[in-house]
Amino acid sequence: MTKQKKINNEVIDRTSFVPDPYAINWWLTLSIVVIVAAILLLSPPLVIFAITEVMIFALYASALNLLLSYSGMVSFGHAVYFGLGAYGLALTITHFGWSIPVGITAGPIVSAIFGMLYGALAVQLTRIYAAMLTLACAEVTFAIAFQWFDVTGGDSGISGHVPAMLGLEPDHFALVVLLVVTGSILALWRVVHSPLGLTIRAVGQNAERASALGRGRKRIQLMAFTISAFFSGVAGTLFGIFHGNVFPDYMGILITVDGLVMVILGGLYSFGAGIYGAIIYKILDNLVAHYFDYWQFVIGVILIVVVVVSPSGIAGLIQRVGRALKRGHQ
Amino acid sequence: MSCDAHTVALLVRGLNKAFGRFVALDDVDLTVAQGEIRAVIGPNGAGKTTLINVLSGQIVADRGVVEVSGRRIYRQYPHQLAKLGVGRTHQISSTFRRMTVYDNMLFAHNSESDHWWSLRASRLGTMRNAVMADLEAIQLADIADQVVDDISHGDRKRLEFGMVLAAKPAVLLLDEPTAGMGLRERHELIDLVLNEVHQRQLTLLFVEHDIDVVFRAAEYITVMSLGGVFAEGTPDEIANNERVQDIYLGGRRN
Amino acid sequence: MLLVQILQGMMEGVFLFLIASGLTLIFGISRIVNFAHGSFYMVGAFLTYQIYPFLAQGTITGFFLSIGICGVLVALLGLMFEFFLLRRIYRADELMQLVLTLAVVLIIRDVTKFIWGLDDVTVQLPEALAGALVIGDTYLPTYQLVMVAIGVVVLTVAWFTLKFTRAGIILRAATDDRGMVAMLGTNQAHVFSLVFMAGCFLAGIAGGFAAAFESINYLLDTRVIVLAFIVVVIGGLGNFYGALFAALAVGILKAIGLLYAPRLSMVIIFLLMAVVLLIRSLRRSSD
Repeated sequence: MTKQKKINNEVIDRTSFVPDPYAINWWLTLSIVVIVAAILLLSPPLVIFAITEVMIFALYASALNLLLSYSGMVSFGHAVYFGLGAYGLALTITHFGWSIPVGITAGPIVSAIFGMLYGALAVQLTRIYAAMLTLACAEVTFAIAFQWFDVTGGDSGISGHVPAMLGLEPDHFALVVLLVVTGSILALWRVVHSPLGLTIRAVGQNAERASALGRGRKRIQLMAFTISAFFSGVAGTLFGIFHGNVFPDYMGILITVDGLVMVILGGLYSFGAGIYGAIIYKILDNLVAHYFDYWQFVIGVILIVVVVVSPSGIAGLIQRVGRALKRGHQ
Repeated sequence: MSCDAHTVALLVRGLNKAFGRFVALDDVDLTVAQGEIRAVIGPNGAGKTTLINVLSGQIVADRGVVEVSGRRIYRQYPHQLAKLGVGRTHQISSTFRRMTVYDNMLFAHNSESDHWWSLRASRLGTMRNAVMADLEAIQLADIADQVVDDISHGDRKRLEFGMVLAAKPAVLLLDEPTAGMGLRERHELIDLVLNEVHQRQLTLLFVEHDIDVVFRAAEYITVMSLGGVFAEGTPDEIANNERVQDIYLGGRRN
Repeated sequence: MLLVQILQGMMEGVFLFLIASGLTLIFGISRIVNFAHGSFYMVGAFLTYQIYPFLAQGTITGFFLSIGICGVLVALLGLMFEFFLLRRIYRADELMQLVLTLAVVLIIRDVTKFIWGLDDVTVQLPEALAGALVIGDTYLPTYQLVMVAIGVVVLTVAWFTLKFTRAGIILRAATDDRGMVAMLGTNQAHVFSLVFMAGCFLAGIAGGFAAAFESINYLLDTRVIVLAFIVVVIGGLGNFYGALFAALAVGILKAIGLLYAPRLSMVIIFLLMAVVLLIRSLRRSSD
């Protein structure tokens, strides 16, 4: 959104288009989908797998981003909702004997339910205390998944409840993932740019003022938390289908940290943080981690660079470049 | 003052609040009639902001009775009191600084509507006219698309006031509304405030340090000192009250 | 048997107290949540392992001396971190602080892996400390008693410093009201740095002492930082004495948990923290 010179009429006209900046750019979306689909159909399986994983994590990171960038809450252990998506799918099929479609719908719902429960506890507190409480919830859930061997298979997890990639060809499954992820991210966009989203953003920025205007912090943050958990669950369910299994690690610390790193790399306080971050992170991961033992060191340095140089991450850089280019054109 | 229960906007009896060993409010009694314009003045540390914090629900009192528009309030949250018609501004203006002026006001309007939780962006579009009208009323329409962090201090305070008005309050609690402003801005703001208060028939309680503004606006004045109510009276009475002059001039630390 | 566990728990508590007290003081004075604190603990442990063999190995003096030196080294490392990186984000929002300190965790972890590899290492306790006090049927390891004694010493020194020295009074005032520090004429940046260094020193010596008690490896930081945070949170951020009680409680609970329900001990501790946090939130306090 460029800032042009302010002449009264122009400003009023622009703000009259306020819904429009919030509207979904369908052409852009369609172009991206078509391009990615084309890449998928033309790539070898290894690349397809990599892209599938990027898409799934782009969704997870975007769901986490809703929380971090907009609602003013920090969640440690957010991976638990990712993992619960996969566990929900698995347990609905193995433990309750229901069909695969039911399992697939159940996955995100399980995540959302846990999100609502844990979120209800977490919003009673603020800042680091709330974050630690989310960690406690995640750790307890992880411990249950890890130790309740009879139900969750413990350390070995569950496998075979659903054929990996639903038995589809890699590129076809990837297309399915593409559609689901695109739809979910569009839904998240809609949430952020709706009245509810405005309310969430306000509470995240200044809960006191929002409260003084009638919107209590706890309820709003709980809504954001639940939505975030739901979409994390969608990503987790997709992941569970992708691999055809589920392990406690799907709820583990690694995925949590990965998610955080992705959001930061992508650019905190922007909508695209999760998407950009997932892409960059996974590219780096595939390029560097395989050849270099000290991958964490590299990530650490990159994070420091991001925080010191460009706290708004990749998204901030893109915005700055975009603005500079536009200025150059004028 | 005659106190018919139906026309009392704010009733405070025996209000006490201590933070550790520091007594912020010491047996405060206060009665503000509906539609009245009350100024609360006093040296620093007198408890004025704490009083407003209790009235707006930010702080829970240790002891005492507080009634707003006849409703007893005790441990309500600020958002619950907002729904009872309490509107409050802060000494250091509290707005959504990373959002635009327009979005700030939009939020205020959205929060008033029944479907504030809606997922339809088009609802926000329908509020546009009302939002711009409100912004024009507080002379911020021409910077509507600026981020609040970038606008001037005085503009921010006006914005905060405008947002509070948008929530259709019955009782206004303003904490040093003109703090940090130049002379002309101060008068403009207080005139704006008075204008709105009279138009909408609101009750106004404001804390102020600028005596000029106080005498320009107040119908009745409460003087606080060291957590207690020191004196009360009409502006003339207070102006001629020697003891009041003493606590202002006689020493900052009592 | 229970007494032995409690003693072990108290020793764990002392470790946790040394780390958590630094963490909580750093938060109290600068509002920074230092996730890298566990990493400083780990560096202290490895440095002790590295240095001890060169300093009159086998003697008690050598042992304490090397730990002391490692503490100082870790404090200096902390100072560098604080000076070059942390200073930039004192006013940034919490998420940025989290990211920065997390980044340091990752870096220190890989550097540790690089220098000392993946294997477990341990420090040989000097003879004099390796034995045990035998009272009837109970066998109380000397080292654990020594650690508790050290905890008492540190606590006394801290209490004295906080209560009677100028530095301590400034620290307490600053924790209550940061603006005050500037007004008292002390250089705020210096206070922050000193406190950070002190916190890292404590973490460093805790690591050194831990290295002699259990085997250490490059995953030490994660094990410790989570517990340290739990302790700090239970005790209340910025609350020095709260950290003490919480550390002892968590230490003892962990030891007892390991005895009776080993696989659930962490869960129990997390549940304790959750309960404490939720009960506190019920008191609808103002801020």
